[in-house]
Amino acid sequence: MYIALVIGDVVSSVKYETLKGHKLLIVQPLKPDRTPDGEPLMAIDMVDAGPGDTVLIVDQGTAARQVLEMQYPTIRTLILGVVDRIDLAGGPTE
Amino acid sequence: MHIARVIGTLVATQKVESLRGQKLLVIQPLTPTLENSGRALVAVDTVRVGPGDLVYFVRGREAAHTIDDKFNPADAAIMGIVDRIDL
Repeated sequence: MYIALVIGDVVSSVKYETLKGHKLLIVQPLKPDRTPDGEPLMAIDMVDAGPGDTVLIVDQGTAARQVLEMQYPTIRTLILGVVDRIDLAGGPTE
Repeated sequence: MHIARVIGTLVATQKVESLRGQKLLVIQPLTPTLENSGRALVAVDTVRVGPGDLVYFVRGREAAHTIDDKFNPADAAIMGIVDRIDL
């Protein structure tokens, strides 16, 4: 799992059947100090997150297998939580 | 999943049995601001798109699971059409 910032959303009316009913957000992965880390990607929202939220994401199909109860997962990137606070040795970042 | 533009189609008459009947498309991954991001790749189609369409796709084992015969070597699959991106 890693930390990301929700930077946008994608509207899609034509989608693969397993994605129907799911909200699609664009997330920018972050380092623990909240600087960008790599390219943004799209994730399925499980927790009613929105643009501006710092979130906890996972990028592995076996996670979707468990969270979405899919035997053969076709989804791999999920938002699992909204981050309230991160405490690092150097001090908290709200 | 990542955003991409469909830039072409690919025909391979001779291919492994598990990819028979699959439409193969050449796609260029894009950033959310629609700039090219990395090299183009070939993906299977699940939603009937064509060249010029703005789409999103999934990479890895999850792509293979979009095909009825789950035991296949596909590693990228188009999962939907982008109507709009709000940043």
